[in-house]
Amino acid sequence: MSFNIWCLFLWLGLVTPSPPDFDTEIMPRLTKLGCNAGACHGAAAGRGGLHLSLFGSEPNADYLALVREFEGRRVNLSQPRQSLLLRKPAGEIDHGGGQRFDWDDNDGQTLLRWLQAGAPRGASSPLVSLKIKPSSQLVAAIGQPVGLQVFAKFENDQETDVTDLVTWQNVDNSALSFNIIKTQVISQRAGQHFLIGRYLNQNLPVRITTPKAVEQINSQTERRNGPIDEHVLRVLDDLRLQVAPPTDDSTWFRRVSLDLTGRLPNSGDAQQFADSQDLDKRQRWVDQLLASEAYVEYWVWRWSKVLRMHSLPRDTQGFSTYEKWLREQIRNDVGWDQVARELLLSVGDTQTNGPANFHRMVNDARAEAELVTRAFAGIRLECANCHDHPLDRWTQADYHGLAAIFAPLERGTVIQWSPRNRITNPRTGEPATPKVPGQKEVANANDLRFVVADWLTHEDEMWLARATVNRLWQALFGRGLVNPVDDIRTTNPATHPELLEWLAEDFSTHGYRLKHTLRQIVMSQAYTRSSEPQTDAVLGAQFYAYYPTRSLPPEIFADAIADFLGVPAVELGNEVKRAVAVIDATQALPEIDRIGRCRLAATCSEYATLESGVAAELHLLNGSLINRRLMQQANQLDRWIDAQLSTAEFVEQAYWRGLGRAPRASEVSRWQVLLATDSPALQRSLWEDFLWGLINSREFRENH
Amino acid sequence: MNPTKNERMRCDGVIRRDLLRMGVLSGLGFSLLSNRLATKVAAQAVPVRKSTAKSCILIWLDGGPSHLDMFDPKPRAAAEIRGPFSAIQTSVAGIEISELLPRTAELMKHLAIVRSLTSPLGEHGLANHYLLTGYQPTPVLEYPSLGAMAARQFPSRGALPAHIAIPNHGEIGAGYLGARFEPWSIGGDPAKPNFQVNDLEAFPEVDASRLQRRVEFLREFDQWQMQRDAAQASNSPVTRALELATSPAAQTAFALHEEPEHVRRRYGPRTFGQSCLLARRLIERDVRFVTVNYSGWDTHASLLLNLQQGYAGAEVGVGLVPTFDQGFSALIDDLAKREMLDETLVIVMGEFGRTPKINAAGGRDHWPRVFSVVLAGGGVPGGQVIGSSDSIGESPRDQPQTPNDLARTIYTLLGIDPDTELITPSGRPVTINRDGEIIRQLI
Repeated sequence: MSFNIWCLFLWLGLVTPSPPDFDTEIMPRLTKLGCNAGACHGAAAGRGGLHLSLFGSEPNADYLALVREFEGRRVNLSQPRQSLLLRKPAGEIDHGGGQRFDWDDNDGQTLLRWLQAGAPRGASSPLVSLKIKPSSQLVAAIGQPVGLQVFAKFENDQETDVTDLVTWQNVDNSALSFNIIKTQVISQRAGQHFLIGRYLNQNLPVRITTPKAVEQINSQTERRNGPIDEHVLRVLDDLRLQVAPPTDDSTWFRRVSLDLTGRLPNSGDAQQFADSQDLDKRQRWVDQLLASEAYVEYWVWRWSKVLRMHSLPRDTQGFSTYEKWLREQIRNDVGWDQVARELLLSVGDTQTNGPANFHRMVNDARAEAELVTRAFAGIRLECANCHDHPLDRWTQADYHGLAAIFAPLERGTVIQWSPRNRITNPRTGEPATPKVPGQKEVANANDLRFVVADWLTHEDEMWLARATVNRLWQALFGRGLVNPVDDIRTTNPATHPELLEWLAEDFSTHGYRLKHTLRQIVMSQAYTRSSEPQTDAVLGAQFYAYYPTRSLPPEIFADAIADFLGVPAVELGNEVKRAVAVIDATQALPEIDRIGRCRLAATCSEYATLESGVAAELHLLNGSLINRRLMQQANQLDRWIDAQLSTAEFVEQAYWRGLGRAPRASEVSRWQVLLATDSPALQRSLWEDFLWGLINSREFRENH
Repeated sequence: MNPTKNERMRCDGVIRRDLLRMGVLSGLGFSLLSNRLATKVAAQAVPVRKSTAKSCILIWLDGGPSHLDMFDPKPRAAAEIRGPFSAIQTSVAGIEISELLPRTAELMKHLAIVRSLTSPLGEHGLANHYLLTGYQPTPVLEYPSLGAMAARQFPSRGALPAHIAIPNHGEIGAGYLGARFEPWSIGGDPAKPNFQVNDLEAFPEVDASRLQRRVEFLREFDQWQMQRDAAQASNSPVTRALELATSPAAQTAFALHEEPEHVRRRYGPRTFGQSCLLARRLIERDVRFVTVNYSGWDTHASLLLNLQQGYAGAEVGVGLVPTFDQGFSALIDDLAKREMLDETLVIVMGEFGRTPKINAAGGRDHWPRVFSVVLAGGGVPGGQVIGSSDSIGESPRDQPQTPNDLARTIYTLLGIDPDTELITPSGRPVTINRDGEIIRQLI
């Protein structure tokens, strides 16, 4: 065989018989090269006169823009090598985006071949699914590379290796490094880290787990209580993180009381619990908390933030009806699927029908679409208002389609359904066609809210269940399995995906009852661990090797101060005495607002903690929240003084009441020295200062 | 492939070196759209301008000050445009400003007036956000104000926080930077004889010795916890407050009565003037960024009454502009005499300008298409006007500048690299400033 013929064979072997396809090969390369990113030609107004859809979501428009716009000036089909489409990104002529590729690499060569073939659009089959191999990998140690391959499956059943066409996003480049030439990811740091691969409209995470220590931990000896502990320990095993021992009874008692009812337990209960020899005492105490009125009050307060509850001007009646209704649902542990359904489907007079007020917490249909997806599905649909969500599968059609379902609602005092009201999809300029996110459009003029309710609770999707258990987990551990709790998406993966799925499944099979799942979690060993960090404080908190300490929310802190000092937290001239009972976000509570209580329902995060700004700190030191209550007549300090306690007795009672434990002997003797005085006047000020110190201590301000 | 200038830049102007650096600093990540370029340029440093400004005073004229009645008068336009006030010469030949600003006019050699700011946003909330952050508002993300960003990049050096607002900071705060960088709004009115800062003064019957004792007791309580988990150790927040409340420097910073009477008088008796004086005292004590919030500039009715007189029939004007003129000129003069002006950038701006044509109520309505801002000190070359508006102050005539350009310029003047990439709590990468172009004459 002559050399020339051999070359011809080689050439035939290298060049695929059909030219590159625009939608599935050229567009992904442009995405990979960054051409259609939001900061470049993907910006709403384009760049340098060229506009492409963000991350290539609209191949039709992009094809026209590249090949046809301005009489096709961007392509030169007679001399493909001279096309602007190549020369600019190759850096041969001035390009605001600089050089994006070299002539001799795959991207440049493929673009050239496509132009040589006449820049055809091609006829590709739609993408059905994407698979990354491996999707999750436990590596032995830092520095070990993992090769990745990506396969796309199209509607015509064809499966293709698209590894070279994937755009990779390194979520944390101090944790993973990525070699784009070899498509290898290399761990740089212990922990669980993610790389995101994007091809066409799909994103997938790759999970790389790198152990902290070399030696295996012996998790087999750890006590476990059901599937929660199995899942949590499996990850701790992978990461080789030392597990903290179980905490003592007193700490657990204070922890679970604060987490389930938002209240400090009273000191009598705490002492009794510590002394009890009953083997089932924890189980019994949890049951007692879940059955209490304090539980109802606290969870109404928590959910009011998720539902963005606030009263409207000149309409306190509607708000109070809404609040009463929610109180009943929580008291009776009504299935959360039913609660969500009733809120979604409610109509009628908001003065008498509580859940109908749900629709008045927002101003229009788009805001309702956002509230519904955030509160019930834990997703942020907002991005899809203006463009297809770049990190998720939500499109503009999803956003405006869902809004279209709520558009017919008239949000007056009486909620009515009026089919004439429509909204416009800004992309098409036409009335938006109703659709549930991720599903087909429904050309149907009926009230479609029930379709949304069905979608949220459908057993294949489990949106409501997943979002709800994630919020319950967050309430008990300070962070969601997916964090933040209202940003569930494939590109923001859960720390324990299997656990999240198990919890959601278990929740739905148990009738979406909040108390069921709360009980499951607080009875796990993971919840019971000491808050003492072991091998690694950061990883340990993230993966529940120990119980992560967190500061109390402002309202809970204020209530705890008031309970500790035996005075009201709020004085509004009515029967409301506790900060958590004030769920109307429009009600000012100046002392508590100063330390971080959020009052604008629309901007409040669901997970506000004590404010750390200077003004808040000064208020704790010099302001009235603590000082006034310390000096208030007939407060607990007065009662202690009247009872003529010794210093040791006073210290012991204060520790039980505020910290839920007995003071250690060393603490008592230390305080006996520090609080010693002969003068009754000085005694009071010393005791006040002691109580002030206790209130501001981390042990009091935090749940641990 | 040779390393050209283009190679280092993305089309949004982000220098890849910064991406790498921030990726490391923040411990978080960013998208690597074309990371092969990233590694190639990692070693090449692009010097950031050496700034002379150590601190910044932002005078925020809330509500939208009239460009036509302050820094961009149109004395030769028709009466309905010109308005009730005439123009005067400043100390720099050829530059005229409103007759309501005689003291400011004398200090023109220190000032740079940008007369060609332009924005599409004519609603207060949206425009506030744009001017104070350099970003047009989006529902997706709350951007941090200039002051919060300065506080983040240059932490406090003493007992006083890095960013203080007098009396408060309005609605734009630290945004995605989080509560730690919220300005400290001191509350209170510096012009009142009994002026006090919220909660800075001890609670009745709780004197400094008791505060010390309380914090000592607090340390006793926290000791045990600190020993146990050193990794989680954080000072109880009140310790920072105690430092502030008991620091003589912090206490004296607010003691305006220590100023000689003639100095206080020079700044004027009203809130704004005394706020400017307080701002100077804070800057002297190493506060990095002070916002003086002066509200009331939303003058839809009677310019004569609101901008000049202050009350009907006033013989000596005590309205918005004379009050501003007195306080602002005193501040610039004082800073210059104390040789602090070179290291203090002073910015005067509001969220937009006012309509060229006087309305039926004798006022002017919102007008963002063209308006003025003034900068002084911090290395800004004074005695100049940058850009211009058309003959009736309706549109920019030349050098249109956006609030985004202005923000980039301010960051650069403060020695903050505007291309630095930060990561929001939700993991989103955001550059301090995106797409802005530096207003060259200010640097």
